[in-house]
Amino acid sequence: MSRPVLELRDLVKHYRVGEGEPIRAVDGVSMSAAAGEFVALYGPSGSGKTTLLEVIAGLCVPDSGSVLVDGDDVCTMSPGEGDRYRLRRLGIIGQPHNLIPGARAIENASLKLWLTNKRHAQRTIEPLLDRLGLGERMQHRTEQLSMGERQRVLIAMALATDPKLVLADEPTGTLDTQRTREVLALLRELCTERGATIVLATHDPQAAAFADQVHELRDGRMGEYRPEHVLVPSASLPELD
Amino acid sequence: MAHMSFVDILWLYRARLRARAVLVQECFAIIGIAVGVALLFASQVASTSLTHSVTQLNTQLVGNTQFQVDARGPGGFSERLLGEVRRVPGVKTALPVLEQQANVIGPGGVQRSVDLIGTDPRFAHFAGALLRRFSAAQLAAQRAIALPAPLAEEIGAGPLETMKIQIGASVVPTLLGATLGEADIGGLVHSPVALAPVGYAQTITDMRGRITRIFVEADPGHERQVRAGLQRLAAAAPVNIEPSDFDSTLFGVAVYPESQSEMLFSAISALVGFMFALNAMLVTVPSRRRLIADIRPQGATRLMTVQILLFDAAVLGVLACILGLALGELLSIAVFHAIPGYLSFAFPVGTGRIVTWKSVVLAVGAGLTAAVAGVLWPLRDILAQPLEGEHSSTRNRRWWFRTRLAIGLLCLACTIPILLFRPQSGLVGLATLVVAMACLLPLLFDGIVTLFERAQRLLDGAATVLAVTELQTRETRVRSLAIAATAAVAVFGTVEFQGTQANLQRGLDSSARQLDASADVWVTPKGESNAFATTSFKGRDAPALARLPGVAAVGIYRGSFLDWGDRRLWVIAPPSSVTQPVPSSQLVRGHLLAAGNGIREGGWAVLSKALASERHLQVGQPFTLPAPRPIRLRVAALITNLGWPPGAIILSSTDYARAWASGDPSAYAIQTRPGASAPAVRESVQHSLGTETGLTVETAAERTQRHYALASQGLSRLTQIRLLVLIAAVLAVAGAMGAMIWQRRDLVAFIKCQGYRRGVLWRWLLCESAVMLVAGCLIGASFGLCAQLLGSHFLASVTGFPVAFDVEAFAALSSFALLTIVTVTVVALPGYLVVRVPPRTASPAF
Repeated sequence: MSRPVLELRDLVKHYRVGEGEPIRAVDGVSMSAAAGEFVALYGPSGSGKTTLLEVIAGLCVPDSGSVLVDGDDVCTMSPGEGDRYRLRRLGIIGQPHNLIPGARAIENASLKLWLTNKRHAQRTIEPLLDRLGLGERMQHRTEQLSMGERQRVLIAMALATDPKLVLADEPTGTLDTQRTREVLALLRELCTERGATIVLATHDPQAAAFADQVHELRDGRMGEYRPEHVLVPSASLPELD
Repeated sequence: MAHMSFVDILWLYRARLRARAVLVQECFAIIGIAVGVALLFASQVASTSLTHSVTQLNTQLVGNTQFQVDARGPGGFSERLLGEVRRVPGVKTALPVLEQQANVIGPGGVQRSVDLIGTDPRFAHFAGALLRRFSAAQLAAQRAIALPAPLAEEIGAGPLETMKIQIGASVVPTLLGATLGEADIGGLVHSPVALAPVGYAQTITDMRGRITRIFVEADPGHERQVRAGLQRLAAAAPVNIEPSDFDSTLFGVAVYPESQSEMLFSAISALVGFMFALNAMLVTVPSRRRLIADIRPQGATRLMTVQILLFDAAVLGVLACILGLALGELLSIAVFHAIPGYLSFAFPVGTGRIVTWKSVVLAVGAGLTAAVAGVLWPLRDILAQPLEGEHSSTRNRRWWFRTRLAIGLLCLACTIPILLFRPQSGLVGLATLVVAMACLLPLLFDGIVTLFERAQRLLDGAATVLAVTELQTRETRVRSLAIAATAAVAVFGTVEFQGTQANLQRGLDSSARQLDASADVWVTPKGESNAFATTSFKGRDAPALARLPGVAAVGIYRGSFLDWGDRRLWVIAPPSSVTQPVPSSQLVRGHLLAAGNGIREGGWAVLSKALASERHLQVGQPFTLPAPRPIRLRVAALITNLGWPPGAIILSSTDYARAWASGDPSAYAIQTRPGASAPAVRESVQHSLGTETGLTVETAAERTQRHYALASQGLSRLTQIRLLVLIAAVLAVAGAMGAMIWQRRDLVAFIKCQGYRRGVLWRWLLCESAVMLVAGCLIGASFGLCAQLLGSHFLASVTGFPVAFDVEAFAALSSFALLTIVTVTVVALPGYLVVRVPPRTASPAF
């Protein structure tokens, strides 16, 4: 059996807010994912999904536990190692507002390639953008793209350096049902082709249905996914992020 | 149409302030506008103070009088003429005045040049406030003088203290009878004047029985009759009949080039100030866009939106103008104070500051305009008709582009012929050049960015790509252009000023060097105002000096000022022993050797070109010089104005003595024997004259250095303004760039998630800043070099200044380097802080 690409071991991350009890954003989470696997972290707002993704990305250090990506512990990486990890081995799909305002789609998508492969950035990214249905829209600027198109640009940005692991935090939060399906289907297809593992954080059961394995998060703890669970509207839950 | 009440607008504004959403940016905007207002106000005050000081003195002297009988030469005329003037039908009163250049020397030896004014106290009450005050000081029977209090303090003399006064070569002790404060003589308290009873003034100036002016008041309705009567008297006397305020007219001519320069400098300062304000306002545009996006869905109409924005502009504008006027007041006192410089040789130019309501209105108007324009202009697309779609906005952009390009090229096309064929329209040429630069700047900026984009493809690294991407995005383009434009205007102005100043300085230095080199040692009356050797003295020492060891010859040099029409001309009459009386570098038309020979022989004179043009004189033509005894001469050659704006005349010392009916020298021009040391001869001459003499002895080299220093002093305001413009530009650009960088924190945070290191991001931000600045500075320097040529040609052709033409590339390089390096260094700090933000994907605002 091949080594899992991603392995989380007893991750704990607490936040102290004011004088009260610390908020247990991630409370003893363990999971693993193989290459090419699509994993969904399903839970309401405030369940710890974003914090878990940030820990996996090496953007914050857990209080205890480890994150192994291809056998390397992300939590013990130096700042330089962390930058290289996020550049070459990890892809983070952001939100539409993260795109460089006014820049062209091809420029936004090439962001990581400027660091790794500047001379051939355009040649490398064009087929990917074409694959994502943005062949005719490459030269359009951010403001001229629809939300769905912007999300696809973000996907291209994340996949440009052929990462082993892709993290996505509510990538379809601003899209309608049909666009959500289209974007997720594309994402899954591309990652399967490239053997990349996807970890998707979502509160949308429809999005979770695309995944090979779904873990439900509640109050920082991972539990069995039960699709029949009715999710409490986010407005009534305390904010963690 | 629905609108908001003032109370509602105020409530909303206070709510936004309490939320502190935009407090820092608004403060920055206020500071930006305030700096612009300060620059404009200070430069206006400096400009008006210079002219007003002479006008004010003139007004205070002349009072209700309409005419003046003015001596043509420094020797004045007989006071018997006063009786004749009083007998002219229609004359109500005639006030005699004796005016001479003098030096007042305090008990401690500190000395200052003054305009000694002597008048008859019995008639002073008909004159202006200055002379009326004098009569009230009970000095009528005293052998004493009165000084303005600041001047007395400067030389360390108090009331009833003994001090000295030097006139020509004589130094006489005198009593300081009274000091005059602001309550006595108003703004004239800063003027360099000394008052004395006319009899006492005649005694100490050795002009017994003589006066230099008579101010005449006519009975109402008899002005023509009086003028005709005075003209008849003038035909037989060495006097001119002029309006009583004629000195202001003469000063206006003398200060014309400086006024034109001040106007240009004010315009450049105002432009930089406006760009500073605009940059500051552009920083607040994103927050205003968010405000509009928030209130429009709530039902706010376009009128309501405009009301809210105008209120913002009013608050910013008013606060900024108050701060700006205070700053401008400080600037005008500390930096832009009026420096009389060379003009004080022939005019009593004061150092007081005069603030006119026009200066205030102009500065406040500009500040409010900047506030309104800065608030409304960037949001015009949102406030425009809602049906304007993508196609029409694209069509608008294209229209704007074509219009700007056409205007820019047209202005450039107008500038070139002006430079080549009509330099006297240099100011128009400068204006068209500035318009051309403003119109073509976006195109040139894009061109430079494109060049950079091509060049950076050869480099590894993402910093340059990120920089190019940001520079080419429409979102940030307006701000990038504003920053580049500010840099361009600042560099344009400093390159133009510095280059023109350097060309003028070289020309003046060359003129001074050649004039001073006509003797090895100079003996002249002491005093700052006598730098041109225009004050005569009783020359009794020449034979004794000629016998001193090392002295080959003592030439009698004569010089003074002569009013001809509206010009107060500098008259130079070198001794016949001078080999070349005409400075070769100043020759404009004619043959140098022939002109020199003509002057030595007598009967010929060399005139400034501007003067000759005005009098329609060519080389070889005869003319009558309106000296105290008019003399017929021929034009030997045409020269520049030798640095004296109204112009100069060179004639032989013998002709001068005949025309001025006076053999008194203005200087001894001593030639040393071969092998004799000029400093040694200077020492022996000084020793021979004694310590109590009013004469100073200096070598030609020392005299030239003094003239260099005077020229530099006269031009020093240009240096001050230039530095201030650069500093303001650095602050404006650094502030705008710093704010722009600070607003990218969220973007930087996300980019860091993609694996970007701090170093790369910092280099990106610095690179982008550097390209913006380099583009702006390059454009400004290129146009500035053209402006240098325009300005220099204008000075040479219109004003007749001696200008040594050259392209001051150093000015361009130094301004370029200073602005770029200092600004990028300043901006490095916010850049460093921004790249330290923790990487994150979610924005708090989202």
